[in-house]
Amino acid sequence: MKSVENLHILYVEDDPAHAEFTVRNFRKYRIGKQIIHLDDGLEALDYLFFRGKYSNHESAPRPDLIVLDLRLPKVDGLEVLKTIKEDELLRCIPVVILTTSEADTDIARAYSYYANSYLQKPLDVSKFSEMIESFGLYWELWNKYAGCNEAVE
Amino acid sequence: MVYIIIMKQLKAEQTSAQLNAVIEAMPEAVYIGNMHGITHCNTAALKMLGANSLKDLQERIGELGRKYNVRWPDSGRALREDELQFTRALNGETVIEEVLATNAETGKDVYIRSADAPVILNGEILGAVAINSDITESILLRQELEKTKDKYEILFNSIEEGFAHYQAIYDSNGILDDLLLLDINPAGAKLSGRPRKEQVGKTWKQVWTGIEDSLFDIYREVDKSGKIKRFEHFSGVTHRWYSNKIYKIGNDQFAVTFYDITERKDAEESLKTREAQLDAFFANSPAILNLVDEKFCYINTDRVTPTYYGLDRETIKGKSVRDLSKDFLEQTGAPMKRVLETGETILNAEFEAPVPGKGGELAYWRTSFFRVPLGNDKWGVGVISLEVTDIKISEQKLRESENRFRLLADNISQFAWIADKNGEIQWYNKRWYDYTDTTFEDVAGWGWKKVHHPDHINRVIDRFKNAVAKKEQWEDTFPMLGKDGKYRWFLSRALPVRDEAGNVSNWFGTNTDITERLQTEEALKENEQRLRGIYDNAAVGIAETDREHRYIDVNERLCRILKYSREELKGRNVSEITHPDDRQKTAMLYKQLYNGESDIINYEKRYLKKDGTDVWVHVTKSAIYDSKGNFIKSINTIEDITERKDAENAVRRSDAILKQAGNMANLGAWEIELITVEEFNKNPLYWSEQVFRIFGYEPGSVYVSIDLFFRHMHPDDRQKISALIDEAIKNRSSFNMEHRIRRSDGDERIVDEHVEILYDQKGEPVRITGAIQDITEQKSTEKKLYEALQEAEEGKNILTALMEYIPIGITIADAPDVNIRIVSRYGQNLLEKPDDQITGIPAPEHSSKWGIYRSDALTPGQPEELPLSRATMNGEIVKNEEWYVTRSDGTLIPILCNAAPILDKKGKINGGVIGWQDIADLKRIEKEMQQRNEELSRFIYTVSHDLKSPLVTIKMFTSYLRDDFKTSDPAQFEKDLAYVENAADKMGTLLNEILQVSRIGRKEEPRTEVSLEKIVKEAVDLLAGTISKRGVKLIISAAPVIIYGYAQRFRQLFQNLIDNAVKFMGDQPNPEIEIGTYIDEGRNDKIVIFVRDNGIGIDPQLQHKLFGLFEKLDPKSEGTGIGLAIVKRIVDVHGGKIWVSSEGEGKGTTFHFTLEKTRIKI
Repeated sequence: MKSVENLHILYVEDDPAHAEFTVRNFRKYRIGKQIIHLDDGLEALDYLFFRGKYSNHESAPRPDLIVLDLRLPKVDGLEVLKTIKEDELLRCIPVVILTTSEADTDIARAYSYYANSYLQKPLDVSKFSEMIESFGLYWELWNKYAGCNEAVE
Repeated sequence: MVYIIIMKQLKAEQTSAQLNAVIEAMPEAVYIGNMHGITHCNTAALKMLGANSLKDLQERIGELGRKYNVRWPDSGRALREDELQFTRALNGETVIEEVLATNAETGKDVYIRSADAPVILNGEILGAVAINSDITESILLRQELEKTKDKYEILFNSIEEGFAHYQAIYDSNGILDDLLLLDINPAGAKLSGRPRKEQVGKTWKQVWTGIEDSLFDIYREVDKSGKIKRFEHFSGVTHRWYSNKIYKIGNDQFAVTFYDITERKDAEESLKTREAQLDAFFANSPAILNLVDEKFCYINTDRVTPTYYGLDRETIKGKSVRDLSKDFLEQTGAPMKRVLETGETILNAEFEAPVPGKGGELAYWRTSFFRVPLGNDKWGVGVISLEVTDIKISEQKLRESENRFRLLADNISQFAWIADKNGEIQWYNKRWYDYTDTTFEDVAGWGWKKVHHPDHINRVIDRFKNAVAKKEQWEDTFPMLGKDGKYRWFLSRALPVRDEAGNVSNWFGTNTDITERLQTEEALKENEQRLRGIYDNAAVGIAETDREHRYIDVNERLCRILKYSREELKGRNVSEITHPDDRQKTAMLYKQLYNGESDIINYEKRYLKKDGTDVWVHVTKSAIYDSKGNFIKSINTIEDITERKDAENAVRRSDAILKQAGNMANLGAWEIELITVEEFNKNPLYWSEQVFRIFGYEPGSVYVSIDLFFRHMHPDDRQKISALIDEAIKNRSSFNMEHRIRRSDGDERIVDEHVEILYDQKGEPVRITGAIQDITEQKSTEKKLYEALQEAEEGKNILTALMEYIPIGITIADAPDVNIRIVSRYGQNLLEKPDDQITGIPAPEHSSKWGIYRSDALTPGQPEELPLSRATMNGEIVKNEEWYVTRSDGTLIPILCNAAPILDKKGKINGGVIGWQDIADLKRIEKEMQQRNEELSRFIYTVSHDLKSPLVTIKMFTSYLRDDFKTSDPAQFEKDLAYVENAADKMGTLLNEILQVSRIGRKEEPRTEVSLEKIVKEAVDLLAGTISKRGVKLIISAAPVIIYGYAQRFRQLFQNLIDNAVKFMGDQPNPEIEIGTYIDEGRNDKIVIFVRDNGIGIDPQLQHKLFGLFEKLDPKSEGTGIGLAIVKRIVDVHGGKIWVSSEGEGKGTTFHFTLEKTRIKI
């Protein structure tokens, strides 16, 4: 089991400002060793399935965690989530949805596609920091009780 | 034995007397004699042969044989002398034989056993003795016995009934164990199915292996009781039924007779089947069907009858109608009894009786009763009954309406009749019969011929037939024979009565008595003739003179007056034969006449006769003018003044004729003698008896005056009547008036009056005469009829107006075939079909002729599922169902249907009505609303997300700014501030664009037709900077096309598309944008507008996301992703479609779209 600070995170987010403050917070709480930020759904799938410019496997190391926004250009976040969870190898990678949407339908659909967690971007910075901080704790607990990681390793 | 005794006796006593005594004592006939005859015999012997005394037998033996007709019994041949037993005994033979002889006394044949022996004494034959016994009885008995035996044999062998004779076989316990067949007759063998020889001498158990022991039981029973036993059984061997009868014979034998009853059994079986069928027939009868016995107890019924009494078909059997329904029995009891007693059949008797068990609700029943044999000389009654209440009621209504019609028809003054379409008369009114004294049977069809005059009948028939054939009005005048044996003249008219379809269904005819009128005409003719007679034979001289006062014609009388002949006077001028003193006056007066100054002149003058003498005459000259008022001739009467009296008499006669004519008119008549015109009311008034009655008085019971007349006049009519009289007097005209009167009892009546004013020679009115008739009844009938017609007309008008103007489709159909009768104008217009495809169509054709489809717009509607059919056929009320109908051009219109049956007063379905509405608009709006709602929710979703996004950014970075401020890192501060600013800008832009999207489709300016070219140019102008900055080459290849809509939006459309194309040009070194049009054959030759670029192109997989709100394919690209959403919205608002084509990334993009009402500029 990787500790939180050694995680390899794939982060898909189209809003550069949101990407900026999220990454800053990951850093602040020492979450993740390597954070790959992609800004549309299609590219995220290319990365995960070694397509296009990621056809060389070395260019796309497997992430330990995927953080996904829902409203993404080209391919929608939910579509990306669904594709990941339908793939035998990828489905064990925990996916955390991080989005501004509070729509119940979005939450429900994300969970129905087996999202591991659904986080709303709060309008409050301290809350956001808290959220990211508790994410570390969450990760450890998750790994303790879910026995899926070996397949990824 | 006898013989020996005799011999002994003979030996013992030789005397003849003794011999006689001995043989007399013997019971048999004894004859003793020799060749020459019998010498001794006893009485028995005489009796046997019918001989009177021995003397009869004292002849030669051969003679005796012939005499007593001795013959052989078998052949009947007479015995020769040497064959006779007595002869043979005389020859020494001893014989015992039988012969047949005839008794001489009775003539009957006698069988005789004759024992004959010779009488030998000392070796010498002395004679012979015969002892004969009469064996006739025993022979006959034997013959009889033999005959019986034959009979038995014949019977045994030939009867069809089986006969068998058995010997019982007992077991050790003495119980009958088997039967040995002693004999069986051929019929029995045949019936048993085995040949006789296989059975006789064998036992049952041997012959019939496996025979049921129960059969033996029957024999055991007979064996024990000794009584005859009859039983039936089915043989498993022959598969037939037998009836058996067993008799016990002696101690241990049985005779059995048996016969085949299979057919009877079959008949019994089929009887049972027939009974079951009959019962089924009863059970399922749709009418009331009962069979009762002579006590009116139910034997069988249909299913319904028992339910009246709360019973079922089984429990009602045996119960009496008397006990179950007293009411019903009251009506049916008598006919049932009659049928039972007389055997007559009562068909379709109708009566009113309550429905049993339904609490007194009355119903009409049509019932037939007939007698049914129940067997054993017993009879029952069959009752078939139908409830005909409905029929009765309609019949009654028909009768009532007929009665009303008859009442009216019988009370009109004319004769009336109705013929069928072929002219056969089927009805006459009462007056017709009253007049002709005929019955309908006499005059039905063409029977009316017999009351017509033979001289006219052929013409009348020809003309009537001709009118019937041509369906034209008929009119003729002919005499008809009345019951008084006199002909009267009638004017008859007949009109064809047409049904709804316009076909002649009947003829309605009337005959009006015009005898009076004709008589008047006749009288006129008579008058003319009389005039001619007068002319010729008149006591006055008459002459016609021309303009120049020359004689045209003169009568005989004038010739006599003047002593000239007619020829001498004709052409001669009047003044030539006028006394010279009178010539001037004559000429002057004639001039007045001929100038028209006066039209009649009276004067006295003298003529010069041929003999030169003069004669005083009174001359009356009157002028005759043609229609233009020109003088034609003058008629002159020249009266020898001494003869004037005769002329006055003639006038009196003419008055009498007039009076008679008045009486014949049969109306109330009155007369006012006009003594003073100025004070009208003072003139005396005379009433006929009928007038008194009209005014409600007994004739002569009141003093009649003009005041009285006016007092009875309705106040509102007084003025009018006075005015009419005044005007009539002024204009010298007769007149008719209809006015109201108040009778003496206060009753208001309407009368019709015909008034004539008579003038004297001077033209002064002298008398007013009138005829009056009460026409109140006639009027009120007319009024009612008029009102009823008015009401019906009104209802019809409302319906017509409704059907004409109601803005929904209404279809009315007739039951039961759902034939479409009428469709509202709106409905007809909507369908745009010819009438014959809309109305007059029965149910099975609705779907095809109207093009009706289910709500899926694909499946043709089945006839029975269509709302109108369901309403009309099943009485269903159909609410708000959606269907499609087809217009003539093939377009389908969605309609919302509500249908209901049309019921008559009794709740019977007369027809159906369907209301239907074109809901195409409604559906389109519904669909649009749905789209709009989806769009709206998508919009709200997108907006909430996209607006929140920058807000999160701003919130986030302002807090970082605070940190930056604390850490005093200016570079970081700048960077973070830029995030905030960007986010704020983005928000501003977003809000603007949202506003824009929401504005599209709102009515801001009127839609107009604009040139595509002009719009494109304006859009390009607005983007001139952007285009030139990127160095894009613009090609406008659009055809001269006119588009219709909001010009402002069209500009925005092109602006966004061109802007979009420039934005996604990528690193294309020779950027190009083409705006053009083409005609797409695949879209009904619609004009398609396109905007093509050679930029980065679009991945085909992503093309569907293109037009979504705030949808961006490239997160790095400028803008909010709203541009193409706006484009799509504009195209939608203008009823068009937009789509995109691109061969992929780097291959350029083409946007295609259509707009409603785009056309080529002409």
